[in-house]
Amino acid sequence: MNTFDTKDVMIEVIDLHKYFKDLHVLKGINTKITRSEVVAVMGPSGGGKSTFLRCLNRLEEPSSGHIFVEGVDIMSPYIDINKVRTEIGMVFQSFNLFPHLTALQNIKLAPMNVRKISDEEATDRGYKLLDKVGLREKANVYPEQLSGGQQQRIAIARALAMQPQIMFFDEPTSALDPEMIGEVLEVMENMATEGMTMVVVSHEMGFIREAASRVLFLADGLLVEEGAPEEIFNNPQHNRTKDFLSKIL
Amino acid sequence: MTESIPTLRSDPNKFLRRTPIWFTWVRHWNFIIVTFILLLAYGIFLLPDPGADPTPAYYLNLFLFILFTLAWSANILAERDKRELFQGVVAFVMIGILCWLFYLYSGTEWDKLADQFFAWDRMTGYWGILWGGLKVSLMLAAFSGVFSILVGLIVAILRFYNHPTINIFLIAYIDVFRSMPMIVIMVVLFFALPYLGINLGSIMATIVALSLGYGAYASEAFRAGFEAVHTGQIEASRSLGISRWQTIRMIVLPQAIPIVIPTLTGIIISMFKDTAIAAVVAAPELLKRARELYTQSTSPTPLIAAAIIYLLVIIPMIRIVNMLEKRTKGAK
Repeated sequence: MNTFDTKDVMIEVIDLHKYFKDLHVLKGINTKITRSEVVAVMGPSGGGKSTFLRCLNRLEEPSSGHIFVEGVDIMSPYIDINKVRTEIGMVFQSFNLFPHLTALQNIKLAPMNVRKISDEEATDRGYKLLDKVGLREKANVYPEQLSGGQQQRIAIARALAMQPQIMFFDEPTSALDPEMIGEVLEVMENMATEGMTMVVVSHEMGFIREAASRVLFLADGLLVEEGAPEEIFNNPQHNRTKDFLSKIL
Repeated sequence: MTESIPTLRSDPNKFLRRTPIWFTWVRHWNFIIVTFILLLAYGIFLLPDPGADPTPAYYLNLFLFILFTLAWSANILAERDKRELFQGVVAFVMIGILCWLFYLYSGTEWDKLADQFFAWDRMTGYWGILWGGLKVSLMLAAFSGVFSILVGLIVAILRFYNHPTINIFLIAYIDVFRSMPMIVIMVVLFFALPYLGINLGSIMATIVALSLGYGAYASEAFRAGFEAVHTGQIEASRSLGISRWQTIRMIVLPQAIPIVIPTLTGIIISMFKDTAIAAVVAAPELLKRARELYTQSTSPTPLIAAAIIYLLVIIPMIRIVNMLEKRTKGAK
């Protein structure tokens, strides 16, 4: 690929390192994520998957390396990281809905206060997103009255309300009861078919097979292997990958 | 044969409480009644004459009687199965006996109580002055309360940014003012600063001292509240592109304030009590007024009146704090 052609590269990661005190968590990650790609990040726990994802929007400050989002180095001191984050939606394992706000208020908060759109427009957008995740009737309900799956769908709607270019999912179904995983994955699959660029830390094999265009296998802070899901699942090249897949399959 | 672990079948007493045998009769009604009669007999016949010479035997006698009383009531209060009403009565009897002993043996001149402590007829014209003092106290508490909460909030918010250099100054402020007794802060502000040309006056010195002193406590309370907000909340907010200040305002504060309110109310109560220290720097507040009237009238009644006024103001405040605490617990 022509390295100067950045037209369709959404995120480019160059030699990303992260230390927690003396612990070397990421040991030089290099990868590119292009538009409309759905990238699944897999690997053993403690391998740096979440840290990798959180470094990409500087929720975790990278120790060294460069991250280009739409061709702009977000490690540069001239960058307002808040503006970068408006283009990157993030969904967390523990939902992290704001408990003092209703579902609709959760969704409206960031567009109104960061994008500065009007209340009517935000409400309108909020209801559309609630329709999209199938929770219109829960608009005025507080998070504690929602099930885990419903909370996660609201969290997705909240992230989408900023109309981001990219969506990050940090183990979105790990904290859910088995019968609720399906409803969340369904929303994610719809987003993938609509062409959203997504980076998903997940071990949901069904979803990855179905929706992911590429799998990154991260272990011990290194990008051990990457490729199409079928390729990785059926014909893993590295022992580390084989070992891991044999345990979860 | 090897010793096997007893089963319920082999040892039906397996789960029985193994208490020494005297425990069973010590807790028996008969024993309790007999010991009470003995206690009464001791109290009536064996106690020394209140006017007698305070010899060692006199004190030993009193001490033994108190010990007997305490042991008798402890025996009943320690039993979980006894009826609560009965235990309450016993507790009152115990306290009554102790009060009665104090009345008899403390050497207090009780006949003077009414015309010294409660000489209300000497208070004519004084109540208005005390009321004026209370108004000053309340004013001091209100201003210092608002300022200390503001100081605490600002310090806590600045600490939330976790800037290493700013943090050093903030921590220094908190440490200095939390480790200085309030009276010292006030005296320094009022008596020492004028030598540098800063004349605060007693009211201002009090407000500044209370605001800075209690601001340090309030900032710690706010910080605890901020820390009680889950980090995931802040991450979720920041990941949406919401700035740090907006995150504090829209996400952290609304969740932290309900947690902090009981602590803050407690701090305000302590502060109201500490307005009495302002008497040292001659602020015309309640205690200062009461002391003036005490010298004027040569009767301790104004002091007693001031004590009662403090009580009447603060007890409702404490009730409110307890209510707030219950409500925050209920909300969780």
